[in-house]
Amino acid sequence: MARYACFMDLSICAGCESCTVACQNKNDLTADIAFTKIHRYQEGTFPNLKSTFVPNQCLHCDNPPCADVCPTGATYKTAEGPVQVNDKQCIGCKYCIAACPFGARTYDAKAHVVKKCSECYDRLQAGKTPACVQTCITGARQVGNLDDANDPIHKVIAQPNTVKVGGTNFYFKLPEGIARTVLPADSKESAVTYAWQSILQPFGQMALGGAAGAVLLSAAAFVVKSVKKEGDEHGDH
Amino acid sequence: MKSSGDSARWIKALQKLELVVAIDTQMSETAMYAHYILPESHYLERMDVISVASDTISIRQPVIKPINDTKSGYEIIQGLAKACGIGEYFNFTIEEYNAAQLGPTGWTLPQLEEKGLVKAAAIPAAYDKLPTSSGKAELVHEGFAKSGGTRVFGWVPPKTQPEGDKLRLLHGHIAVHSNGYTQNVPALYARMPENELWLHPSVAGPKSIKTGDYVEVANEYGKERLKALVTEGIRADCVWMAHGFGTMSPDQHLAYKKGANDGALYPILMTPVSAALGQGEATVTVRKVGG
Repeated sequence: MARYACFMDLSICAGCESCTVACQNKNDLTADIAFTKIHRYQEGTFPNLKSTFVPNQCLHCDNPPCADVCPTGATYKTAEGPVQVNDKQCIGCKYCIAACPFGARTYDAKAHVVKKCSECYDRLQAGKTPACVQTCITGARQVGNLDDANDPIHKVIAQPNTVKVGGTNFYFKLPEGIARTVLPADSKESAVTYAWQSILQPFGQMALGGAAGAVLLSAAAFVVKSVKKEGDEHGDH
Repeated sequence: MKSSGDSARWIKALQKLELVVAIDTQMSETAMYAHYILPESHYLERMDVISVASDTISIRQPVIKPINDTKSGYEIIQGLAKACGIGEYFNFTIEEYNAAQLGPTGWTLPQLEEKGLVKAAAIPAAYDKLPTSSGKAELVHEGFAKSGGTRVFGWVPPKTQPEGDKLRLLHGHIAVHSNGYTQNVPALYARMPENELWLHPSVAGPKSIKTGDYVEVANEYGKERLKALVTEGIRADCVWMAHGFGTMSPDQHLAYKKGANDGALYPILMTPVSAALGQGEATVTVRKVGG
């Protein structure tokens, strides 16, 4: 079986955003929805500056909070790694948006579905690379199978200055002098997920059941999230 | 018109001409001022002449049939030649031309089309004997003087220097767009709809300019309006903007009037000897025109 890992070499990312556009094309998205976005990060004072491009997208957590909180099971983790969304089962309650530690999920109002990067699971299964990897002009994006000892990905992720975002299979090679803090923080169970699973979800299912409960409780969860955010040490880079 | 400096002067010049014919893939500013437009196929719809760089041969070939009623640049030239009665000089297809070019390399056009890029057996350049009178790289040359410089390459001061309120205007290219030709592509417009004027906090502060404010950038050549980006990423005596924005052609529905055209703020200037465009030879003043 395959166990996929993704790698991105930020030291050679050109910031062209071709990955964003290739992904939009592959997923038939309108220009206002992007599953992978590239931000420019800069620090220092002239002329002592450091800068890099930083991606923002689903990192396919080992224990995805978005799947944990999904009331219908529309979001689920595959054995190979990619976290999937079954559009037909999604009721658009948006609770996954609140639970996602990476701000990687987008509500598509037209489809009434919360969408995100699928890691091109369909392409991976067909032996192809994800659209973002295939289109990357500098080869900064790569994907590989950790279970295959001969896969070049092992060498790629062993490069110096390469950081694994904990709780995911995403690796980033940082440009020289750029600190780990520009990357998303390690994925771990959040206060929101805990609150949902232990308090809100059981209560909601008891009191209301089904979709209506989920919608109401997603509103409640946003309150929990905003409380949690105040004490969040990582902040938004 | 956006790439050669002093856009306003180019517009005046084009308006004076009796006949302007533009070959273009979109309604550019030059096409807008043309009497006739011969619409060219997009690069994904046409075959171009093979490209050779050192020992590497590559080809740009169509991946789709032309969507609109357009022709490739070569077909347009061929058609014009025929109409002018000199069609016999263009009595071949672009495929035949490329095949003939490839001939001596041993590669065939179908092979190049399939591979996209091939290597040719090339004779390495003999750097120990150059085709100059001395056989060496010449740093002193009469040719430089004849081309408007001095016998030795020297530094020439720019026409204008930053001073007081006058800041050096710099421009550059960004990876999202290609020159001035992709600003109206919906997917790329969504990524970067307009450019911004980078300016240092020590300049922006006294003028109460914040990131996102609209500023007017002006000098003797023109006046442009765009959003400010206050950043440490620029020298205090310079401002910078990405090239290719501020489209003046209303038919580019998305990009029209979005951001600023840096080309409106440079002189039309060819540098001596190298004949490069003397862009960077301009200073501008910046003032806030809206929050």
